[in-house]
Amino acid sequence: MLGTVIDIIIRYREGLLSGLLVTLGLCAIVWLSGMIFGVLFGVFAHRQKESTGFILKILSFLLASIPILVLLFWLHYPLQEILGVVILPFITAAFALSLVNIVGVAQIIRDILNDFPEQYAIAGKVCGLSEKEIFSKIKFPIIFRQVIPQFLTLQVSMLQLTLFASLISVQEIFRVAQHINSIIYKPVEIYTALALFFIAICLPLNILAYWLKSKYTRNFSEK
Amino acid sequence: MLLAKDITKKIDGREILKGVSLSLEGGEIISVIGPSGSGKTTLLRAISLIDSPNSGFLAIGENNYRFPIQQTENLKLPYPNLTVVFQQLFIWPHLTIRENISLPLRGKIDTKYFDEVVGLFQMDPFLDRYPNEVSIGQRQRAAFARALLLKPKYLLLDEVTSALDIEQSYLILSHLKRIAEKGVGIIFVSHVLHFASKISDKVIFLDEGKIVEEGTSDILTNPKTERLKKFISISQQVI
Repeated sequence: MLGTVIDIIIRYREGLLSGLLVTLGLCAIVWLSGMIFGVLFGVFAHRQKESTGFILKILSFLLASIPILVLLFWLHYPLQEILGVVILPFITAAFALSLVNIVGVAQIIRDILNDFPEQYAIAGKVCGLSEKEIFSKIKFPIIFRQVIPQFLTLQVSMLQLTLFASLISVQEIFRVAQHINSIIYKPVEIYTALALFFIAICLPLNILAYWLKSKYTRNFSEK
Repeated sequence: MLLAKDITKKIDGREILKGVSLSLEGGEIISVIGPSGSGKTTLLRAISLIDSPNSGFLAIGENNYRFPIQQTENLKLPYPNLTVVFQQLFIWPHLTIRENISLPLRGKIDTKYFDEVVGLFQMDPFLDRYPNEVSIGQRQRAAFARALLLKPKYLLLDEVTSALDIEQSYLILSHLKRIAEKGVGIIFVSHVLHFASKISDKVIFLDEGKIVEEGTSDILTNPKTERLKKFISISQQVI
């Protein structure tokens, strides 16, 4: 079977590669937006609990209640019909997945900032450290260590969620695999090849998240 | 000199400190004792400016503060001339003990003094371990060392022996005398009367946010007020 899988990868490499590039492009947008806007949203939600924090809460509840597939379909069909516009499926998918990622990242950031023991900062203050030093040498390293494993795990999930984009006709790797299957009908081999693609990308990320978690999130609780 | 005059502090509308005054000279040790909720920790946080008092006056060395502070911009904070060791210690968890005590020095380490302090608290065996890998007694010593390496003029200690056994408490408190001999003024909040009587030049008994009685450690053997008598009596019964 492995021979057939390799054979399919070689024979359809151009199609698979273009699908992979679309998937990675989608992923890059989703990851970047989460990293930039999610972090900012989380910080503001922590600082302005009454306003931005409330908006984040509402968005989190809403998104947790709507399956990603329904959100994608709703943004792709009804919303565009209501607005009377036609938007590329790739952009719709990027928007929907970015929204989910931004809210997810913001929640991680807000929760960790809310739970940060302020006494660590006070200890720095009474030692004569400046606000800048307290942030760069105490707050940021502690928060970073707590954020990064959860953040990476979410990003792996977001990569996997890009598969749903195929359902609104985005020519990402899953849709390409479906298309190849419709021509040669070898589902076991084709979806094995697809699994290999995802393993090749997700496995290193998962290992990195695990490694960072074991390296940085030591048990801070005191014996 | 550290001088606090008529310090009041309200938390959630409740007056926790009701006009407390005290003065601390360099080399002097003051013990603040009192029941739970009497305002001991609040007093320490107020005079260290962690939580600014609502009213009163504070002089820390050459810095004067009148409360409520009208303009917080350009406010000159007294740290690390005045520093605090907390009950919960707050040793930074992502740094080793060595990094914890060195960080506030910003690389300007007086190696001789560093070694002296490390030796004083017998910290060599655990200097390169992380806080969660050492015992609470070792963390306690690290918190002290971190404060001492800053060469403060005033050292405020909040129930620092509460989590320690008698032997460890004795070790820490025996060092306090030596620290004070170097000219450091120390305010020591504690509920352990025995230690307060052993090491203090002055004892302040705080109850319901007010100083009920103060004087030398003799007040612990010959209290004048009924409230202190009762407190000592209850403390002795518990021991």
